[in-house]
Amino acid sequence: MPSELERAMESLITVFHRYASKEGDSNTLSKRELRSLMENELAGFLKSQKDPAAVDKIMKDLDANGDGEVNFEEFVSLVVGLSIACEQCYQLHLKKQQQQGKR
Amino acid sequence: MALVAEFLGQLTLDVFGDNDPKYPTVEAVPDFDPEKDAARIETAIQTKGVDEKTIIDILTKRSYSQRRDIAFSYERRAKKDMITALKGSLKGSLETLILGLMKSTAQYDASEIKASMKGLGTDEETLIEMVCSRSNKELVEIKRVYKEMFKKDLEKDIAGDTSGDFCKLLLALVQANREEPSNIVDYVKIDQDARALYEAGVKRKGTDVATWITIMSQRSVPHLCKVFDRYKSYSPYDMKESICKEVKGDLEKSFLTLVACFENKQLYFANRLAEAMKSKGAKEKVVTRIMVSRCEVDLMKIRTEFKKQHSKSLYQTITEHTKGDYQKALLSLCGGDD
Repeated sequence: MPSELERAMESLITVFHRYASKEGDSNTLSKRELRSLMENELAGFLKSQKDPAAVDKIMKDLDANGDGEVNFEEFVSLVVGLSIACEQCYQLHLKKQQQQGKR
Repeated sequence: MALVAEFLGQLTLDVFGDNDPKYPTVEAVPDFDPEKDAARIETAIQTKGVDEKTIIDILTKRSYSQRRDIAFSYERRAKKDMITALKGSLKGSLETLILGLMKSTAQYDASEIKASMKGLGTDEETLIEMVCSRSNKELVEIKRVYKEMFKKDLEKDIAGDTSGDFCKLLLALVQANREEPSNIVDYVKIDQDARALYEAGVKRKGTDVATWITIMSQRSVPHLCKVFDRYKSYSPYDMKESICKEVKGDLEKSFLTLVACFENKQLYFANRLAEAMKSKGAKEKVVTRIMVSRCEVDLMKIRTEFKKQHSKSLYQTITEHTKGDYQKALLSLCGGDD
């Protein structure tokens, strides 16, 4: 019976491959595949950027070796960055809940 | 956790990438030999008529810390202080430039600020350029070095040399209390700040400068850029136009400089360079200062912005408006044509 954390890691891998296998090299995300992934899996985040070039900027940031493709290692850094930022929001959220609980 | 979906909606792209990427034109050379460089400089200084070319070739193509290593080697072999020797053998704008290169960024900034306040009257333009374009970190370092070099507090000197709201703005900036950029976009605060700026300025008779000073000196730069955007939904005039309408003189120049630096610091420097070189008797002090203080920071990006804005490359402009060894030194710092 996989643990919650093991299931989370499995999701990272399966989601990545679901989009990476759509075209070309099935172990990497082309810009098109990255766009598709973000529009489906991170729609809320993408919309709040209000920047039509957001995916291009993210692609440029992630493609560390400049080969025009994002491999799993490069992709995971996006997830890590977002998770860290979300965790900061989560801490604030907890604090607010505590304060509300006190009233 | 549906919470994550909610949080993701609040994040901005500022999360990714450095806030201040570096685009220097001058970098440390890989196979650095301070002894050899020091020897060549010693020869260059002793040559009849002084071999300025060698001095320029070496010192404009080494990083600051490498220059210090050369000075150290020089002193060991020549038993003389290299800076004193350079002072004695160079003159004019070239001397100012080379001596500037021998100071650390903070020392150079601190000396420029001190010079702008020295004596009767104040060179407000320089003071504004320095205080409004430096970051928190840079200002903190400048204050520390200023105290070391001149045994005085930068704040006290500014207070003694300027007055009124202009003084208050400079002091607020020099306090270096600006908030650091955060991952979370506070849309409520952005709206509040935009409304506050509007109500303190365009909306009312006169201007509540204190509110403007507080917001512009304390909020983080990415936050302020969004505030200025939101501001347009309240005010018929954008932030720059509002500043011109509401305040005048040094205060106006300062706010305009701040806004220009928030939006695009490299473009600000590019424009300042263009202005300085076009003016009669190319304001060499300004050109030297920007080239020397930014060559290891973002001069490469300034070049790009310069070409985009003025259709001519910085390299070409320097060639047209300066001459002699001073020109050679500037071109060397510039790094190349665009």
